[in-house]
Amino acid sequence: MALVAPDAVLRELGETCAGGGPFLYAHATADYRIEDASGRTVVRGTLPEGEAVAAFNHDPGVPRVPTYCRFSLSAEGVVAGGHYRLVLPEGAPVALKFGDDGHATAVLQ
Amino acid sequence: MLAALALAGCGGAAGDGGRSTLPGPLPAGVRFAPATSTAVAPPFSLALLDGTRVEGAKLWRDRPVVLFFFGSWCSRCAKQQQELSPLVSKYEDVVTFVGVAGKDKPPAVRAWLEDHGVTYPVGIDGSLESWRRYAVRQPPAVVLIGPGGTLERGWADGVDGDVLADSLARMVER
Repeated sequence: MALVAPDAVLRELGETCAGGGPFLYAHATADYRIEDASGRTVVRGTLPEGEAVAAFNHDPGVPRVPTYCRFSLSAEGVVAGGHYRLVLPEGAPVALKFGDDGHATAVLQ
Repeated sequence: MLAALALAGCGGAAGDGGRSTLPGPLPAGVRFAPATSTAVAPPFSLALLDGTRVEGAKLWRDRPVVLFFFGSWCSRCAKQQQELSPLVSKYEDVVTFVGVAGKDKPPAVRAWLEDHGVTYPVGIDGSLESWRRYAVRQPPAVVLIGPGGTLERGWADGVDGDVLADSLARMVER
């Protein structure tokens, strides 16, 4: 699954990152857990390095572009289509959303 | 305070980040080029890892200051520190380097300073107030402040050692 910090920081695509601006608490080594609808923790771990991904579907032709920081997390134990929330030590819990391919994404708010 | 800074001297052990790492008196014969900027550095106050409080205005009163915004969890900060290290040694007591961590904990920061041989003063700005004042959105970020408090340059994504070395070489005359 992916955790996304929508920080719109200028970075080179693919570079390692942590959440910028209001999402500085989302960084490598930060603890996270995923809880199901009953509040039971089904996944627990620490965030890895994030990777800068394009914030917009548009190439401005410069090396550093607006990006989001995306973390790839283990979702073992998470059932596609279920109701889950990802919880970090700071910030509000965020709901997991599932794509058609069953891949889950949580976007920090 | 200034007397205390002078007495504190330099050469603190890596990992300390406290009062013993503050610079000593400005060496005789050192002069600085006129400022190239009229921008004023935002004031800041920072508690070092040993609790010693430092004020930006006192640090940059008579010499340049380099602020390094970093995180113990930030892998790119290690590379930035590698770029800074030779300059920290070269400009000992002439340029004050200050590390400003943000979302971090003292044990993690101390371990990082030890691992990376950091010998300059370091504090944790848990409120991120100084980060906001310098518009830092993510580490590593580096800011160069001239003697007297002119905001000379800021590098929001870190800076190559050669670039900072050139900036300091233009600023320091000895």
